[in-house]
Amino acid sequence: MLAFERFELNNGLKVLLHKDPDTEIAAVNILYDVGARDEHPKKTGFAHLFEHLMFGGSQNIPKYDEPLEKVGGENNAFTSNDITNYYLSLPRHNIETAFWLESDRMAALDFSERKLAIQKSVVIEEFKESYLNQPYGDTWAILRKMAYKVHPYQWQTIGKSIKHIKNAQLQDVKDFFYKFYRPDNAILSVAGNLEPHTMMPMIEKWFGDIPAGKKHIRDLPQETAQRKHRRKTVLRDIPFNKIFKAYHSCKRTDKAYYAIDLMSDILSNGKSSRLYNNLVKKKKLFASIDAYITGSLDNNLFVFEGTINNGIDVKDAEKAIEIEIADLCHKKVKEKELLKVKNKVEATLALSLLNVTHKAMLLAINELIDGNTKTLKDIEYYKMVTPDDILNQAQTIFNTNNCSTLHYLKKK
Amino acid sequence: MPNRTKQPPIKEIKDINIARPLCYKMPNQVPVFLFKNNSEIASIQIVFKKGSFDQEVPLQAFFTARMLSEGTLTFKSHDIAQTIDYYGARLNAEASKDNITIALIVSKKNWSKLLPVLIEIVTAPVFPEKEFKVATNIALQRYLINNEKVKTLSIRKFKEVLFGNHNFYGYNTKKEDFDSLKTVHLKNFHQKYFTTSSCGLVLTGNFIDKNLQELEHHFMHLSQKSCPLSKSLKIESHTEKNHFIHKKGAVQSAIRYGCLAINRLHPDSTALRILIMALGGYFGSRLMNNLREDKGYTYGIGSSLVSLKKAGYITISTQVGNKFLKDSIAQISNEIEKLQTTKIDTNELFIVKNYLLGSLLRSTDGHLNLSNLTTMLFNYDLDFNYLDSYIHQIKQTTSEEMLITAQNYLNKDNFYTVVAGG
Repeated sequence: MLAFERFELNNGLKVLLHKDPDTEIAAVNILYDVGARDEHPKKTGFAHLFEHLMFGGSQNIPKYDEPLEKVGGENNAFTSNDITNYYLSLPRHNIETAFWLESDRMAALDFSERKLAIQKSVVIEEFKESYLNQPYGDTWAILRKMAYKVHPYQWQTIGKSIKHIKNAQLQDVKDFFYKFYRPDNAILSVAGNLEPHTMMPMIEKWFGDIPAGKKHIRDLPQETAQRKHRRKTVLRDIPFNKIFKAYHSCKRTDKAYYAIDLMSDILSNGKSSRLYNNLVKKKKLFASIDAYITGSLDNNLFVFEGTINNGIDVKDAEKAIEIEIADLCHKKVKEKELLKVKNKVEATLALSLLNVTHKAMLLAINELIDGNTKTLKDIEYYKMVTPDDILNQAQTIFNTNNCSTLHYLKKK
Repeated sequence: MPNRTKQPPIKEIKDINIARPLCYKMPNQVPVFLFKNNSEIASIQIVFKKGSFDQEVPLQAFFTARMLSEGTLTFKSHDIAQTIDYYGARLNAEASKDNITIALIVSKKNWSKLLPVLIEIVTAPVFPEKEFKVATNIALQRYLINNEKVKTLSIRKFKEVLFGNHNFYGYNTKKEDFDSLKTVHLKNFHQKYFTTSSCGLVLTGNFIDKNLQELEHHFMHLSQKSCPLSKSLKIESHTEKNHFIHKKGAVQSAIRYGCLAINRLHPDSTALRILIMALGGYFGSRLMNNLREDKGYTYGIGSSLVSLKKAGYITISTQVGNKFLKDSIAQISNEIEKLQTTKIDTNELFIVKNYLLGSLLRSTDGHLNLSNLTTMLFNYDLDFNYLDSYIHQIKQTTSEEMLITAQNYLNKDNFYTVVAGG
C-alpha cells in the first residue's frame, strides 16, 4: 500500500524512502523523538520553545527559510507531548537543498541570547493567542492536571505558565539540543518521485558525519490506576456550558488501541454517529458532542467533550452521556456499524496517501511506533477488531473511578 | 565532508506542466471538466455560480448548502448520513460569497452507490423543519462562541467597513438573523439558482463511458430554468478609517489593516499578488521578519490579496500583545511605505517569485488539487490559458513594476484599520 525502503546510517539516523512517480513535489520529514513529556516539571514548554529556535539559523545558514523559499519550498513543524516533527515540501529537483538545510541544523544550531529572547516573546504571544485569549482556552491545562498526577502529560506542550518560558536559559537550550537533537534520536523520511539508490548516497553525504549523541533512556513516571472519580467545576465568561469526561486508556502501541479508536468513531465520527443522532438531534441536549482519544504514545485519555444547549442542566447532559456509555458496555456493537467505521478509517487513510507530505510523516511516525518494520500495519489491526473487542474495551475503560469530569460553566 | 557553506545548485522551476481536463457539455448544456486517471478514488465537484452575494436575506446561501444533505424527496436525513459514512465517502457542501460547491470524494468501487444520493441532494432537497432547527442551533452556538474571539470580531467589522452593510460582501451577520431565516428562504434560493445555466461539474477518477452516461442521465433532473443575473455591487465603504472594538479582558488585540483593490480578472492582479506576497505572504516576508522575527510582537502576521467575483481587497492580519499594538500598526504602515519608495532588490524578488511558483506547483499537484483549481477558474469564467499567462507574468515581473504597483495600489489614504482587543 505504501512501499518504502529503510536504512540506518552508522550514526543511528533512521532513513525511510518512498518513491511516488506521480508527483513533482517531494516531501522530507524529520521526526525528533522528544516532546513535552521529556521536560523538567519546572521548565515546561521547553520542547516547543526549542522548535521555534530551530528556525533561527544554523552554523552555516543564517536563515533557515530563505534558501528553501528560493527553491520554491515551504515548511513547518509541530511539537506534541511525545514528538517534535519538522516537515517540508519542495520541487523534487531541489531535494538536495532540503538535506543541506536539515543536516546543518542537526549538526550545529546557531545559539544566541538575542534569538532566544525574541522567540521567547513570540511563544508568549502564541500562549496568549491560543490559550489565554480564547473562549475555553484553559480547558486542557485543567483537564491534564486532573487526569495525570505523576506522568508529564499533566502539562500541555505550550507549558504550564508564561513564567516557565520567560525563565528559559541559553544553557538549557544547548543541553537540550545535544541531548535530543542527535541523529540517533531522529527519523528522516522522504517521499517523492526520487530513486532510493540516488537518495541514499546524498543522505549519507549530508548526514553521515554528524556525531551520534550519548545514549539516554527515557524513564518517565507512569500513572497508577485511578481509584476514584475526580470532579471539578470552573466558572468563566463564556456563552455556553461545556462538559468533559476523560477516562484513562491504553498506550498508542497497545493492540487495544485500535478497538478503542474505532469505539470513538462509533460514538462520534460523522453525522450517522451515535452521539450526534441521540444527543444532538433526538434529545437536543448538546449543540456539539465529540468522543475521541488523545492518541499519545504513553497512556491515552478517552475524552467526551460536549457543548450544552442553554437551558439544559449540566447534570442531565452528563446523564445522557452515561447512558450512551452504558449502552456500549452492555450491548455488543452490530457488525454493520463496526464495518461502517472501519470503512471510514480505510477511506481516510487512502485519502491521506494522495499527499506526499502526509506519506512522509506517516512513515516516520510508523517507524517510531512500530520500529524497524517493512510495512504499515495499522490498517490490518483496525480490520481485525471484533464486536467483542469493543465490548471488552468499553467495560475496561468506562469505569467511573477511572474518570475525570470537568464542568466548564458560565458565570452567573 | 560536504561543503556546508554553500547551497546546493538551485534548479529553477522552468516548466510547470499543469494537466488539462477534457472539457465537454452534457446534453442539458452543463459543462464538464474531466481529469481521467487510474486512481482508486473518484471525486466530483458540482458548482453553482451563485453564493451569499446573491442571497436576499442573511445566511440564506450558507444554510441552503448546509441543509442539502438533510433530506430529499426519497432519502431521509439519517439514511443519507448512513450511506455516506458506510461507504467511507466524504460529502461537503459549502457556500462562499460567489458560489456554492458540493463535493463528493468516494472510492471508485462505491461510486455508483453514492451517485443517486448525490443527485437527489442537489436536485431534490426538501429542507425539513426538524433538521433545520438542529442546524441553526449548532451554527448559532458556533457564531456566539466565535464572537468571543478578537480575531472574528475584527474580520467581521473589517468587511463591513470596507464594503458597507447593504451588500453581502460586507454585511455583518447578527444573532437575530438566525431566528429570521426560514426554510422557505432555502427553498427559494435552491429553486432560483440551482439550475443548469449556473452549474458546472469537475470530475476526477478512473471513469469509463458508462459512468459518464449514467451521470448525464441523472443530471437531466436538474432544473433548466434560466438563472437570474447577479445584482451589481454597490460599495459603501465607511468614511471613518479607524475602528476599535473593545473586548473585555482580552490580553491580545487583533488587527485588520487593508483597503479595496482589484480582483483576479484585472491585468495588474499578478503584479499586486507578488507585491502582497513580498509584504506578508510567506514565512520569510517583510512583515514576518519585522514583527515576529525581529521584534517578537506576534505569533504570526500575514497579508493577502483577496479576490472576489466583483471586487478585490488587500488584508493584513495579526494578533499582538496589547502593549505592542501601537507600534505594530506603525510598523505595518512603515513596511507599506517602504514598498512605495524603495525598489525590491533582485534577490528578494527572486525568492518571492520562486516561492509563488512553488506554491502553484503544489496547488496543481494531484487530481484533487487540480479539481479545486478548475472550479476556481470556472467561477471566474477563465480557462487554463489563464494559468499560462499567470506563470508568464510571474516570471516577467521586474522590480520597477513592483514599485509602480505599490504606488498605484498601496495608497495610505485608502487603508482602514480595525482593531478588536483589550
